[in-house]
Amino acid sequence: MKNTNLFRDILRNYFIIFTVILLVTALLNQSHSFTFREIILVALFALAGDLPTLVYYSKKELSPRSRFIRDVIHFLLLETVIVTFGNILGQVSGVRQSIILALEVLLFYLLVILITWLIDHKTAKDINKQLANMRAERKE
Amino acid sequence: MKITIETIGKGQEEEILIRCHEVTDEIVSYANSFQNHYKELIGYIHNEIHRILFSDVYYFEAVENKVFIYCQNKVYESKQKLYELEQLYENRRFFRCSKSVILNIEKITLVRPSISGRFEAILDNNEKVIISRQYVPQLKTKIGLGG
Repeated sequence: MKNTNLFRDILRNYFIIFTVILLVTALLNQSHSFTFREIILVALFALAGDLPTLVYYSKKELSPRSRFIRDVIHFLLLETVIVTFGNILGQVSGVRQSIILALEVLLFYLLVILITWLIDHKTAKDINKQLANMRAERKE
Repeated sequence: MKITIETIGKGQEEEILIRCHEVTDEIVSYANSFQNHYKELIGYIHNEIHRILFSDVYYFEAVENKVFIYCQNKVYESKQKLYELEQLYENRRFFRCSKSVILNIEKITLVRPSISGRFEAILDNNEKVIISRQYVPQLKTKIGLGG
């Protein structure tokens, strides 16, 4: 990824995470009014959840192996951030609940990979169809 | 439209002549396509200089400040920078598929997604080239699928 794109994505994702957490919390609990401390915690959580993306920073194109290693590091950092903030915000407490949350995060992570792959599969199918058309035109 | 092909002697210069009522965009596109097909690049193998048709190039790759031209089964070194080649191929069927590679679309047999979140292009000579996902919209635009 171009580094300018990476930093642009990090900034964009930060605001998306921050807004989505506030909106979802407000919609699910409409009588809740946010305290200053909660808003700061959400802002910190968004930052902590977004910063692991920096592991993809590289001046060179990443090899498949290097990409895989960074994916694993990214996932582990994300797990740590979510479980830590889950405990700070009081969403989970104790080892058992933390493990359950970590497993839920893993499940979502795998789900995102699967959905991305399905979308990419459809994109590849469209591209291949168009490439076949172009080949047929060239042969005519 | 009538198509006439005439065989000429070795001493004469080869030529493509288009006779039309009006110079439409389509005609210009055909003319450009012929022109691009016969344009050449200079590639080096050790001290030998080779003339390479753009249409024979599979991809260009930059490796540690050097640029290489990959053809079906030969690799040449280019004295040009990747960004210079990028300007040369602007109107051709080439696109940047990653930070260091420019790929000839006409040499792609198929494209498939990989679990790593990137795409893999299988070329006519069975070579595999990685397409970074941020360059996929560029490929789609080049082949007429929109961004």
